[in-house]
Formats: sequence, C-alpha cells, structure tokens
Amino acid sequence: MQKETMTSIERVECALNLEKPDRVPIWPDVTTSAAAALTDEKIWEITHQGFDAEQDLELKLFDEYGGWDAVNPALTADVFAVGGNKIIKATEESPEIQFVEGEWTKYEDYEIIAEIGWFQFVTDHLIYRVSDIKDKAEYDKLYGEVINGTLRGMAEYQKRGAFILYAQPNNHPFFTLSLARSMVKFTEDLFYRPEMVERALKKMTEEFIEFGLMLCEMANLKNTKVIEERAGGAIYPLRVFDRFWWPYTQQIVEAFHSRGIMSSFHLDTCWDKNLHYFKELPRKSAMIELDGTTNIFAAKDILRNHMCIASDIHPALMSLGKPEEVAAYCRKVIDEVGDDGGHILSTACGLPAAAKKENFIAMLETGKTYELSK
Amino acid sequence: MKLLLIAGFLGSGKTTLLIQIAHHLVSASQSIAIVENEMGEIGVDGDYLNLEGLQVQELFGGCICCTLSTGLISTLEKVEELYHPDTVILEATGAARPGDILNNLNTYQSRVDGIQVITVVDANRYPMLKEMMEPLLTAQVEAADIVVINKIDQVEPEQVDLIKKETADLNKEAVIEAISAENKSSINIIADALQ
Repeated sequence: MQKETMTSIERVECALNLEKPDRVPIWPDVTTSAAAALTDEKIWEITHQGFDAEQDLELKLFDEYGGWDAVNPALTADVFAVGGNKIIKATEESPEIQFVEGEWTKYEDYEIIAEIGWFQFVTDHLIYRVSDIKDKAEYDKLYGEVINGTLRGMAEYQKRGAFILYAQPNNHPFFTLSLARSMVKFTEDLFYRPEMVERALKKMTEEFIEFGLMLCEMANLKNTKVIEERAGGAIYPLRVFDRFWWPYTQQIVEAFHSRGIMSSFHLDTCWDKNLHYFKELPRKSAMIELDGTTNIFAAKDILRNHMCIASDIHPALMSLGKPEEVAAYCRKVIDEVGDDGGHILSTACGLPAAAKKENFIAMLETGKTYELSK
Repeated sequence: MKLLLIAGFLGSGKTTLLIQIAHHLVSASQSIAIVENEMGEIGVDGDYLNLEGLQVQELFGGCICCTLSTGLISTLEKVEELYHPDTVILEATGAARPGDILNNLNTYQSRVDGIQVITVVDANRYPMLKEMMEPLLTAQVEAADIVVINKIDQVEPEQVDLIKKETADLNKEAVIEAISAENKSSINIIADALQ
C-alpha cells in the first residue's frame, strides 16, 4: 500500500479546489449523540454539563478512533437553542437532539423581523417563547459559552492537524422561518401574503451575510455552513424555490465568494430537481452535502468540475447495515463521485446516535486505505 | 405484527383519525401500539391512551429525512419486544414521504409482516397545498393504500369531488374515502378498507 503524501488540511483543500488528493478526505459529520454512543458515554448526562463537556466528547471520539481529516466544532443543543429553536435535549429514551416544530412565531412577527432583524427578534421575543431563558443576561451567558466553547473546540482540532469546515452552522433564512412558524403555516404565508415574508427574508439574508462574515473573520476560516432541509424539490415546486429561496441563496454565496469564503450547503431531502441551479453559482464557490435521498451520482454528473460534493452514507446503513456494506458503499462513492477529485467522504445528514462501532470503523478504514491500496 | 402508517400534513387531522382507528381496532380485539413522530408537540395524549389500554411510544428524530428510518426500525423492535401488538400505528411527520420510509423498512427490518399507508388530505387546505407543496402532496398520495379526504364539512361538495378525482388520477390503486374525522361515525367508512 502506498503512503499518504498530504496532510489533512492539504487533502481537504485539494478536494474543495476540485483536484484529486492522495486519498479521499474524510469528514464523518459527527453528532454529540453519536460521539457519546461510540465512546460508551451517556449523552443524556453529558448534555447537561455544558458546551465544553460535549465538545470534549467529540474530541475523545476523534482521538480514540485515530482521527480524520475534516471536522466541525460540536453542534450541541445549546448551539441550536441560542439560534431561537425549541429544542429537547437528548434523553436516555431519545438520544438525538430533537427540534420541536410549532407556531413559535405569528404572522405579525414578519414585520418585526423585517424591521429589527432576526437576531434581535430572537433575543427580544422568540427566545422566551421557546426556552426557559428568563432575561437577556441569561441568554448572553449561554451565547458566550457557545462561542467560547466553539473557539476552544476549533483550537483543539487545529492542534490535531484537522481542517475545520465551519465554525457554527447557520440555517438558511427560509428554513429559519419555516421552523419557527411551522411548515404548513409558513407555506400558507408564502401563498396568501408573500410580500411580508419576502421583507423578512430580505432583512434576514443581509444579516446572514453580515453575521457569517463576522464569524469567519473571528474564527479565521474561509468556509461557512448553510443548512436547508425544506426548500428542495421533494417538498416545494420550482416556482416557490425560484421566488423564495434561490435569489437569497445566490446573494449569500456571491457575498461570501467575493471575500474568498466557500459556502457549504447541508441539503436534506431530495434535491434532484434543483441540482442544475447550483451550476449557476461561481465555480468553487460552494460545496453541497447530500443526505442520501438526492441522487449523488446524478449530482456529480451535473456539478462535475464545478463544486465539491460531500457524500452521503445513509444513517440507516451506518446503524443497521453491515461493515462490508458500508465499505462497499464508500468504495462506490470514492470511485464514482471522487474519480476526478471534488469529493469528501461523509455521512448523510450527520452520524446517527445508533451508528454501529464496526460500521464507523469501516467508513474510516475504507476512506484511509482504499485509494492508497490501488 | 402489522404496521399502519398514517401520513399527511400537520393539521390535516391525522391524530384524530389515528385515535379513532386505534379504538376501532381495539374493539375488534386487536392489541395496538402507537408510535408518534409528528414534528410538532405530541398530539396524542399518551397518558390517556395508556389508560385506554393502548401503548404509546414517542419516536423522535433530529431531522425529517434520515434519522427517522433508523429510529423507526429500532422503535418497532422495541415495541414488539415490549408489547407484542397485532398492529402498530405510526403517525409520521407532516414532511415525511411515506415511500422513503417504506424503502428503509423493506431494506432493513423483518419484524413487520404487512404495511398499509393511509394518507390524510386536508380538504380545506388542499388548493393551497396543491399550489405550494405539490411534490410532497403527490408523494404522500402516491404511496397511499387509502387516501382519506378529511374535513369535508368545511368545503363545498364540488371541492370534494375535485379532490377525489385528482387523487384518483395520482393513485389509481388507492381506496379513496371522504370524511369528517370529527364525526366519530366516519371510522365506519374507512374500517372496511383496513385489512
């Protein structure tokens, strides 16, 4: 078997630049729940010990399993809570973080959001509807813990030589409003009173860019994360996508790209009908992370030599499949999606809490050895 | 163990229908377990239903698309070991595509020996949903064995006829029934369609 000739950072940069590295870079997209399960810890106890404890759990996983190439700081329940999401922390019965969807915002709130912006809306109004936080001081304390913990987590990974894909995830403005209003209510708003929604989306997009740039500068990163679980063609027709998602997305990507920052899109549900839109973005301005429902091989055909694709080992395969099945799928995406580079080996939508140890090892081992053994 | 999967958008009346079906099956001497996976706060009063002799299991998944498949299969295994029900009724999230759930069940599990899908269509919201969320609405109807057009008391008869025709065009094999689930006798209309 040949030896590795690149560092983790060189390897990931190579893939993002659509070139072929010595072997595929690996990014398992670890969740705190999976980190706990794979290191025989109890997430339902650790999650109440604060951000650092959960970050340490992910670092423990990294060290115990021999490390990998690309990482992100821990995505704890508090990370999502400070963003204005109603969250149920992991329990023994349900070890994954749960987003609770509801009508946490009212129609009248669009006007407030358009006026003061999403972040101030969260701290002035929404956080008190979706959490037990009592006042601004308590919110600021939690927010500070998340930011400081994130920076510490990044520093720890940097010591280990890993490439940091992003500091913290940001929900796309469309997804943010859908989660906060509930999917059907939000869709009714788009149907019956779209102008007010658009005013809010416009303001939130400006803020999204401003906040993202600030975060990248603070963390000294050239990558940012955009999460979207709802806007794809499996849920909305293209006329909705064309009006309410794509223009704001173009604005976001172009703003980051002009500052040398790549946007990484976490795209859940099937995006087969939307893939060709991403060809309109500047080459190497974005990466897409698929969740196993989009046809990744068709995505490669469309976006070949245009943007990097993070593959998509399905949670069901990681949890219920056999190691040889995981290894076979890894080899398939390495051969077919990574044949000319532009591929990062990853899990679809994050590593599930129920992932089997032997399957996780199969993913890491195949990624580290397959191409070097050829 | 059979699985009855109830799909449909949040607010379409899935929970009301689920409870009626559960009681109907219990009255027919079947043992029932309920698995809840709605994205919003749980609509079923688990404590109440437990008192009624129905076992309720909450199935959470961090996101709508993928972790559900894993969680569902392990939940079904757990439910079978704990309760040995004749039928499990799963209330899926409003964003769920039943076809995706069925694919994963058929690939990875062996506990369920029969699956029926009921898709609940909200007659009142149908025009809006058809215009704005046609891909998801279509996927839910196409995967159904039974399409229940609910809340027909809130729309004109012509609207009900139109929905029946359009859903039949999407899924020619499905049994299509129009009801108002608030009317408890409606369960009799769909009981025959249940295996």
